[in-house]
Amino acid sequence: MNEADIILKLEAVSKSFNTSRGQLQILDQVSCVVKKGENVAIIGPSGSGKSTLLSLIGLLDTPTSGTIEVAGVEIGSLSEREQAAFRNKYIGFIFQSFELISPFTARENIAAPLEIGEREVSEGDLSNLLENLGLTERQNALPQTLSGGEKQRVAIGRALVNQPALILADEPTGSLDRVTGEKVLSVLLEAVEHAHATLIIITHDESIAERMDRVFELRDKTLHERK
Amino acid sequence: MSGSRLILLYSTRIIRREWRRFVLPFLSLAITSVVLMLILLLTGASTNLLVEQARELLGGDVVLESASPVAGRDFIMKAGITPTIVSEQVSFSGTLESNTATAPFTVQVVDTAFPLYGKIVLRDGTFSGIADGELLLDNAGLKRLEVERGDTVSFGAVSLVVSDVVVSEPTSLFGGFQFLPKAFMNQSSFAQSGIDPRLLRASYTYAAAVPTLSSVEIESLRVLEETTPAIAVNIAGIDQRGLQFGLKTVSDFLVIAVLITAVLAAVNVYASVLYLVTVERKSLAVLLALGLTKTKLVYILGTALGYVVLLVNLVGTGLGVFIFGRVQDFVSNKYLIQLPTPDLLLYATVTSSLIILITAMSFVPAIRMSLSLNPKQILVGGDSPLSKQSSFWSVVLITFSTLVPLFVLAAFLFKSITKGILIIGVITLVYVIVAALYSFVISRMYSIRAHAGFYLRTIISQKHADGLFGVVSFSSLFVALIALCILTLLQVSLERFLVNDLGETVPSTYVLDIQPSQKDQITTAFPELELFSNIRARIVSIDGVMIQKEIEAGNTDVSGELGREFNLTARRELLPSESITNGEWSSGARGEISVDGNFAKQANISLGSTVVFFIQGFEVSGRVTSLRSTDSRSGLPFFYFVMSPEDIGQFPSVYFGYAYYDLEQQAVLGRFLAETMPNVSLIETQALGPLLLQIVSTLLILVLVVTIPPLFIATLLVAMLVIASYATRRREGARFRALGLSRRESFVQYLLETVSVALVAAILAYGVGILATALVSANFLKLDSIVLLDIELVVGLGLVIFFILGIAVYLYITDTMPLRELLSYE
Repeated sequence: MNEADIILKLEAVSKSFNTSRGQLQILDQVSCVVKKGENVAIIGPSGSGKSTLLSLIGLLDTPTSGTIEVAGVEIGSLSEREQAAFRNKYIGFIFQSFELISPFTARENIAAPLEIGEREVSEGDLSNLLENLGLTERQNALPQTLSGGEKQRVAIGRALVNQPALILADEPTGSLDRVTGEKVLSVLLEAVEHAHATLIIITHDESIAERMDRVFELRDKTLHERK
Repeated sequence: MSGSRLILLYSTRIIRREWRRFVLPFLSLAITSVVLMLILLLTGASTNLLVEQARELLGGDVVLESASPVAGRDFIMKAGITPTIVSEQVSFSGTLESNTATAPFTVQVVDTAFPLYGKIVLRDGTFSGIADGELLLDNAGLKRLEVERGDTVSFGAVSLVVSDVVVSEPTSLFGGFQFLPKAFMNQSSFAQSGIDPRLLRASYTYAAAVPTLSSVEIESLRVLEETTPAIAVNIAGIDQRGLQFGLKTVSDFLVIAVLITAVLAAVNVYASVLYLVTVERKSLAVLLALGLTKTKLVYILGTALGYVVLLVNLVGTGLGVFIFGRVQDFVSNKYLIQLPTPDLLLYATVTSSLIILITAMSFVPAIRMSLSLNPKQILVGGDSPLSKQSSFWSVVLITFSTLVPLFVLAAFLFKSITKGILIIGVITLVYVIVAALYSFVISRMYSIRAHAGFYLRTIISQKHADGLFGVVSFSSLFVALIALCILTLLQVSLERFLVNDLGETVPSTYVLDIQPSQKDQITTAFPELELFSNIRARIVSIDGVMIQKEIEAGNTDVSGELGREFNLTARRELLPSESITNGEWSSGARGEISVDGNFAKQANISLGSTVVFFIQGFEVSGRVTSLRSTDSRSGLPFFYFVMSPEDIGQFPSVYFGYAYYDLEQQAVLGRFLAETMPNVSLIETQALGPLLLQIVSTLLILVLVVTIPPLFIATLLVAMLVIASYATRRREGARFRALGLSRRESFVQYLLETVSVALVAAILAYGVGILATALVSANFLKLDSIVLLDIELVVGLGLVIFFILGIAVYLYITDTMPLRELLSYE
């Protein structure tokens, strides 16, 4: 495989936590490679470490051992400041509980990554994105007045606005009903395809996993790819 | 978008959209600011007032006293002080004579600048100095000489006309009470009398007006005083003598009240900031996931807080000044006391700086600790972010940084870095010990919680999960309650001191010149009269040193003061105002002498010294068996020497006495004396009463007014903590309800948690408060005793518990958010 085609590379990544009852191993020697443009699902039972793995990939947490490369950069070597800048440039997050910034309107939430990255906010691009997400009417609404589906569409817009190479979605439809979930997923997949980004999605839902290019199962603290 | 623009944009956006979250901290900080400003203004005004009164009582800012003429100007110039105006006076005991009577007087010879401060109130006219040939007498003097205004009185070779009657004069209470009536004349009249002042037991006074005395100048004066023992230096507001003691005590109390307020303010600001950081951090932590650096997040939150602090300072200082104006009006109308207006700009700057400093000092460590977790932990475990960090050292670090501004304030108020360190050190120590103890107890209880019932287990678990916020909340509540206890106990003790010790111990009635033949008759008729013999004597020798001879020979090692006549008394019992500091007093056994400790030092008399007196042609000797300290504020008779009745009882003696009579009893005594003992003089100290009462009531009002703001802020802090704790419990309560607990049960659980903690804090605070009050009282206020059990305080603490209960019930009743929303509410 050509190195230039690889967006994510995990090599023997382990993660453990110190608890009052000793060390708790969550991930053990996890390795995998994801190519640019691939849509990948990670499934597994609750507590198997899916969210932890996503946090490690997204630089929200650091592994106990092993290396993680995103877009050819070994992220363990980055300083905290560099990690923040890297996250802003290369990674888009979508959380199950949306995690919108409560004092920001829908439009401001979406624009936030651009502003944080000190990039020009193109009002035209922003309006297009809002329109594509069906949020034009609700762009000035505060998060607490949005419905669950709207919130998650805002979260998707926020994850995509920077045109990151890697989108990380942690059960993006987990807080939504089936119909709304379907709609949100379609919007997400369409947007990811349009942006030529790579999607890593955590889900419990087999029907969502089936729509991905590759599926990994997190079992016995490590990843197993379904053939 | 540039970094600074981003910070400004986001912080403004947060304030605009999330202003509701800032309301509680804003209100808390604003009230803190108002109270701080108000108490600083009140203290500043009160201190100015006290300084004015101290100046009036003393007769100047710096007053030099000596038994010989004082080269005052040279003396204070040596200390680097240039007075704006000076007044020189001589006072002595002398005899005045009218056409019908002769009487001993305390004569005060004054210059044109007298009095430097305060005013002399005359019965008929207005005082504008004393002209040549004029004499002012007080009421007692008028009576003793049987004269009226316009009559002539002679003193030595000069005849003087009584020009008016002195009703009150500012220095009348300085140095205790005069037994003799008082007369004032000018220097020219005194010169014409032809009396050589060296033949009198004169006291020379040099009073200087120096409106601002620096600590260096005060120190220089003290050094000069040490090297010039013949001159006593009195500094207004610093030296404690007579009623000055009361003024100094109240000044010290004001400083303590300000410090307690500042401690409460700091804790309050800290609790508010921590609350804000806790609620805002979670909602903003997602910005970290979007690539914002922690530093920028700190700046954004800090800037948002900065806007709040700016508004707080504007509102706080403005409202503080407004309320101070109303308090001034109220005190002026109700008590006829004019509180001076201090420098408003200075106090506004001090208040604003303190609020900014305390906020910054509490914000930085709080947010740094709060953000020390990685973004995932903040997002996932954001509800109790600080619990894992609640180590002893975290509390110590935060407490220290919060108390730094307090140290600056304490050092400023006490004008001493050492005192500042000491005071703040003690406060810090108490705070840290309480925090550490609380952490330890909660941690221990948590480890054995399995044995407790559901409610108790839940309370313990929640307290444990509260982590640092819980520790700070408890410690803050504890500090607020301790402050409440200390202030109340001090205030009650001080009030008792002012009313009882300072006012009530001064006898209302003195009788002078009772002859031995009249003693039995008067004590039979008026058994309440406490009589003292008064025998005049000169010291012949002390430990073999022939005093009079040495003075005549010009020996400077022997104080000239020892050359004069002394009043001796024979007594078996000590007065309530006296206490033995060294040696023993065995009920006036033959040959024993008790000497005033301060005088003994001046006269080189020590325990075991032999003193020989010359009394009415006979030499009487005795051995000093005890040294006494005398409470000069008691207004009770004072003698340098107390001897055995067996040694001097056989000498013919005059007696004087005192009693606590009301006006009616005084009238009876007056009629009795007029009819049967016309030679005996009656002095009614009510003549001094109005001034004394005015001063005491002023002090009481000041103490009361200054105590109210800290009590208010303590209550506010308690309310703030209850509301903050409710905010953190709200969602937990909803989760319990989702699991099957009724709304009522969930509330009872919260109530039990709050009240039980408050109760423990209140009981502990009362105990520690008593200890702290005793320490403060002994080391700073020098009160003889403190009130240990104050029913009002106990009731007050009970009310605090009810207040907490009330707030909790109010929050419960007004919280109508449906369960579903509560569960999803951020």
